[in-house]
This record gives sequence, structure tokens and C-alpha cells, in this order.
Amino acid sequence: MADCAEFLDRYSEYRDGLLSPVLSERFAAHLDSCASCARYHRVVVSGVEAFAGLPELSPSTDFALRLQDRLREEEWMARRATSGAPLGVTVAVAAALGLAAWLPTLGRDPEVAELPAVLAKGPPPVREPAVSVDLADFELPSYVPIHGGVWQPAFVAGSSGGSLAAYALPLAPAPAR
Amino acid sequence: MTRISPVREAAPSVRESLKQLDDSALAARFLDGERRAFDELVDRYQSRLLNFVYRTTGDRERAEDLVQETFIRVYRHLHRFDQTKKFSTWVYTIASNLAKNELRNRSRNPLVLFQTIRKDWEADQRPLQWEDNTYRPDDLFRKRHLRSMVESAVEELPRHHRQVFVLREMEGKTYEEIAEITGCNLGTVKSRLNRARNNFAQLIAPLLG
Repeated sequence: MADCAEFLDRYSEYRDGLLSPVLSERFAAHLDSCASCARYHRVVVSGVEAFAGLPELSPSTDFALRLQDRLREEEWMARRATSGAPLGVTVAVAAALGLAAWLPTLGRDPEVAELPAVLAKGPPPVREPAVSVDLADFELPSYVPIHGGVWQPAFVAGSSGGSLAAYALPLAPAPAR
Repeated sequence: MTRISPVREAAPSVRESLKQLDDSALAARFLDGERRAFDELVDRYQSRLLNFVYRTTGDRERAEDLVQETFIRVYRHLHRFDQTKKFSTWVYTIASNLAKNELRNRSRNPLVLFQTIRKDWEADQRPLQWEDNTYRPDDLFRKRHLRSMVESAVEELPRHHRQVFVLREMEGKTYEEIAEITGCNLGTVKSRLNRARNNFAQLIAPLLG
């Protein structure tokens, strides 16, 4: 006789009539003798009956119309894809259309529009270097700090020079002291 | 004297004759240029597919979109359908794949993922045990709530189990058809169906004697 573990393990095959006649009889005999498995079987049968008896959904009233629209679009796209127009013809037609759009502008002076003048500030004043130096004496580090930590590219006097001097390119006005 | 248009007289009989044909014959007629044959296929399958996709995804509005998409794909690829095979299996396979993609995309949504994580359902790890229960709730209460419990129970099944459960119990598909529709082997179908029934039974048992 089948036991509960075997019954539960192969329950679906039993329920769907896929077991051999011999095995099917063993399972039926187990159901007669096991209240727990019998209840399990009853619950599945009743539950599935209730599930199958749920009201069937119907498509919404505009389902068919929407589908027809989509099918028409599908048909149109399929016809376009198989229309057989060679690529060269398509390019020639596109070129002709482009030429037709530009043709009116050829052989004609473009219109000149008078725009109002734009006021702008003059260029910033150029600062003369404090010391005139020979650039060959200078190395070029990447940056040195000047005026409260604002880093700017600078030249620093080389070893052949006297005192250390810095020539800084003003990128921003120096803060007031 | 009333004149009867011969075209109007012929139209109902064409439709009637199409209704007598099986799915493969309808497909063949459509490919020969009879457009109404496709309309007949839509009529035959729209409700069944809608219910299948709805029970699988749980979203009625989305189910309609997916069924429409199914028919568009059938229309597009019907010329490639092997007419020696079963048309219903083919169309259900398309619908099933669309439903699966829908569920997969939904599970990537953080909100849905959060809700899924909250369910601590681990169907594969639940022991296949059954305990006798002498609880006998009121019959009226049971009947009133059984329908909603059954619907909820099916919705709570893991998606792989839910799909085979719906195909078997609602659509009446054979194991072989389910294997073809879901792209699984027979062993997997049996295993998933068994677990689905077990999980389903555990959910609705409190309402049934």
C-alpha cells in the first residue's frame, strides 16, 4: 500500500489519471484508509472546482476596435516594407525634394538685417612686470601660491639669479590689503 | 419590391462556414486572403487568452494589452506557423511568453519587489505535510468567502507554479501542451503542478471541511 509521502509526491499524476492501473489502485486504497490524505484530496478537488467556476472575464467593449486599428497599422507597415521601391529611387526623390526646398534661395542676395549695437566693457588693463628678467634663468613649476592662497601659474627665479622673485600672470584681481 | 443585395446574402454564410472550420483550416484560409478567417480566430481565443493572462498576471488592464499584442504577433507570423502543429498551443505560447516578460519586468520594479519580499513564501522549502483539521467554519461564511480566497490563493502562488496551475486547472491543457507552452520538460511540469496544488490547498484549507 502507498504511504502518505508517496501519495503526496505523486498526487498530481494520480489526480490527472497518469498512473498505471496498479499504482492508481494502491493510491485509491490509501485514500480509503488515510483521513489526512483524503481531506487533502477533497480540498484540492473543491478548491479547483471553485476556481474553475470563477466568472469568466470578457474583453472590454472597445477591445475589437482597438485591435482592428492595430491590425490596419500592421497591414500598412507590411505593405510599405514590401512596396519594392529601390534605394536609388528613394535617394533621388529625397534629393529632388531637398533641391526644391533650397532652389528659391539660390541666385539671390541674402537679406541684411540691421541689429542694434551691443555695448561691451573694454579689455582689462595690462599690468607691467615688476622686474625685467631673462626668461632663460627661470624654471617653470606648475603653480605657486600668491596673495592669500590663490594659486596661479608663475615663473620662479633659477639658481643663477639673485633673490627669489615671482612673476605671476594675473588671472583675478588681487584682494585688497 | 425589396431587392436583396447578393453580397449581403453571402456574407452571413461565409461567416457561418468559417465557424465550422478548425483553427488550422482558418489559418490556411486567412493566408489565402480571407481576412474574416482571422476575425474568427480572434473571436475564438480573445476571452480564453484574456482569462489565462489575467489569472497569470493579476492585472486586467494589462492583460488586455498583452492579448492584443498576442494577436498582433499571430498576424505577423502566421505565415511561419507550422500547420501540422496545434494552433492553440502556439497562440498560448505567445501569450505565456508575454505574460512571463510582464511579470519579470514587474519584479524589477522596486515597489513590487518590496511587496514580494514581504511574502515569505518559499514553496520549494515547505514540507509536503498534511494535518487533519477538525475545524468546521460556518457554511455560509465559507461559501461567501471561498471565491475571493480561491482567487487570492492563486494570485499568491509563485509565478512559475501559478502559470502551470492555471493552464491545467482552468484551461485544461495536457502536460505535454503545458511543457510546450512554458518551454519546460515534462518532469518540471509535474513537479511545479504538484507544488502548486499543495500550496493552493494549504491556503484554502481553512475554509473547506
